[in-house]
Amino acid sequence: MDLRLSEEQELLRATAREFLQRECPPHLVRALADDPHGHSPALWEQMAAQGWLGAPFPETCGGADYSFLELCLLIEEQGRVALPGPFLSTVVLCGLPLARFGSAEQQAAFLPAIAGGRRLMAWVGPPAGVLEADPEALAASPADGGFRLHGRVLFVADGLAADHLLVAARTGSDEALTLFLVDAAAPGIERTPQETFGTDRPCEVRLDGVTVPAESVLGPVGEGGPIARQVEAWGTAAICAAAVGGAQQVLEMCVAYAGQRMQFGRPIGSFQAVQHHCANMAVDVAASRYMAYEAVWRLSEGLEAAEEVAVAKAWVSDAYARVCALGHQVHGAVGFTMEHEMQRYFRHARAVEQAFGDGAWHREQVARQLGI
Amino acid sequence: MDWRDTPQQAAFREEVRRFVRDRFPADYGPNLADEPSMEPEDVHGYEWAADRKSADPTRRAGAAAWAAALAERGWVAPHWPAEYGGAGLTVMELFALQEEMMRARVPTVSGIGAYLLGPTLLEYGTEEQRRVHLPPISAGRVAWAQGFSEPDAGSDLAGLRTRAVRDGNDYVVNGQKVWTSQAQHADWLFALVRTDPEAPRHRGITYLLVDLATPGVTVRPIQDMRGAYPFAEIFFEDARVPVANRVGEENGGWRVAMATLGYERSGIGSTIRFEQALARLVALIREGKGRDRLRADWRTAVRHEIAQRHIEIRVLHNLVRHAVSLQAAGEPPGTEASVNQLFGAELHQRLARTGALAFGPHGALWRHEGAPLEAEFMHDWVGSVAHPFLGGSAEVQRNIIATRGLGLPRG
Repeated sequence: MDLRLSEEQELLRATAREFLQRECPPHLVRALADDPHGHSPALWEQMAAQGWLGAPFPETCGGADYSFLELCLLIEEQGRVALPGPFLSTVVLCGLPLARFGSAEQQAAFLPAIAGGRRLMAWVGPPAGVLEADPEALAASPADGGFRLHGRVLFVADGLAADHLLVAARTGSDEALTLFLVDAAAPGIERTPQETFGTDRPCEVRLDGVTVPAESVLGPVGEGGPIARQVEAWGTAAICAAAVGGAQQVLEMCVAYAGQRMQFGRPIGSFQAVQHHCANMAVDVAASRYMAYEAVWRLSEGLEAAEEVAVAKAWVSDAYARVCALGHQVHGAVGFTMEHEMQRYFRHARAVEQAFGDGAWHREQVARQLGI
Repeated sequence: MDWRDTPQQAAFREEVRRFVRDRFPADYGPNLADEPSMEPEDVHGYEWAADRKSADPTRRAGAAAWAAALAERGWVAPHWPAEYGGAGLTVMELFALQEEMMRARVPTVSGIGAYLLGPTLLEYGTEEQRRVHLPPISAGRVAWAQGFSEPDAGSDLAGLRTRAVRDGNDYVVNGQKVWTSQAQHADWLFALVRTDPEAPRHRGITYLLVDLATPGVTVRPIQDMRGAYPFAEIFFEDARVPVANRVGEENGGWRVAMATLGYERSGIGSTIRFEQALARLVALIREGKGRDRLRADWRTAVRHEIAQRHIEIRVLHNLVRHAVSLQAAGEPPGTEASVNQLFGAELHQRLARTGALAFGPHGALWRHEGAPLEAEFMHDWVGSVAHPFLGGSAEVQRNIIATRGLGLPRG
């Protein structure tokens, strides 16, 4: 047992941090906030050149054979700068299931393209925390040797930027899911942005009689459930890692500010109330780090991780929000301005909280796992 | 980054479990009617220092037999060198031993001597002091108490006033200590005294080893709000302490005291204790007696509170594992000990409340017999009142995290 990062892992993280400091400065992130897709093609190309977009794929598909843990170290650093764009959606939610469950043809068609920065993707699955009995839930029925998809999904992260979608739809009379790889430009698809306060660019995706060939099915027909759960597990753990990066950045901003901001003839960081806010943030960040990484590590090792993912997301959802609230309190009025970076982390935390189920959602999972 | 034990670590844990099964005296059982110790690392129902002097001969014999069994393995003071009766365990092995003993619900023997005083003597004591004092600890034949706090010196320990005046080969000590855990059951005390009232506060302090049987030393137990006597005040009236019992230099005791306070317990004891308490509650809800006394609305708020306590216990466990990982790698400690202590203390309070409130009015029952879970949580609720201020107040821990950990400027 050793919860420290290895030297190689530290180096990976440090390299990622340097890259993002150079190529993703605050003014770029700010400019992308107003972009409808929230995505910079130039930055995407640079990430491709860095090998990030194909990092977890086999080398034979243009990847670098990163473990899930190593991928999440990158994602943590991305969280630190609140990286805009569909990295998590593309690489984690769609790339990983393609690499694990895709046919050879599907892998050849998608993975090198993703790794090369030529394909952006979004996961179109039922969002957690939404009423389960949704009358418009996505359904697929056999048609012309393939399938016809019909229905709508709300709050699809990065839905607008994606050129391809991985869609989970119900097939058959029971709840069996099937996963489909769908061209977002196909006739019958309508994507409408939903303006939330989070940073995840959600949109409503409507599929109205969208026809897809049989080859678009990822994994066996009617057996998409386990794949969908795996996608959610990866996504949940990865977003916890992003939250750790963001929360760490907020803490550092507060310490820097509190050390410089003078009032009553001394830095406000010398006042005990401010010190205690920062201490509370430090505890939340440390706790979040090991909760997130225990889930990430278990998934990376191929171990059962349902419990660890639930406790991690429950903890991190709330902790990141607490850290941002204290972050605002320490910064006072300047942190409330549009000009300041605090608002970005507030919005990031809001998106993180909502993704794959918030604290209360996962506490319910934990209660069920405990058998109560 | 790896949560798994190595095969050697796993084998060691099995060795500890086997040892406990084979050697823990069957008739040395827990007195669950007693209030839990204020030391969060202690197992409820045992107070080894008191047990070895129990009026009940079976209990006395059990406590002595357990101490002897541990001593045989060098496991009273497991991390000490074999030369002084320890087993030379590594940080990871010590962690595993503590965790397994806690899970098995068997008591630590001479904890203060093994974990606080012993390492202090190994670092700052004379060879003679080590020769005299260490073997009795590792043999499980002595109990020590820590005499630091005074009525006017708690968080501000440097304000201590117990006076020691050199007279020939002795120091003559006058003053008072308070909140000394289990002093009434201990044999020896390590105490901080003021030897130079004119010097700046931190520089006039001396560290002494005091035989509690010394004439002029009076120990008076103090009753806490549970009705238990977990600590005592100690009066010194012209008590003579040999100069040979001074650890470190005269007026150089502050540094030694900081070393003592720096030998942190990992916090694994608290973690396991909380885990087991919550597990008892969950087991009752799933299947047990007393289920009919859960509050009628337990399926709403209480369920989620229990889930949240479960999550928080896992947080603590990971914080502890991380601190141990750093220590095992020989990395200089940051403020992990403060973070862990703080988080554990406040979690203790939340956990006790959750457990008690789950039973509605039955959760306020004080009498053990017939109460759901023997009223464990109500008793723990009261005991946990002190946790965020005994052993380092939460406010001070936050100050330390902020200034030493984050580098914020001192006030």
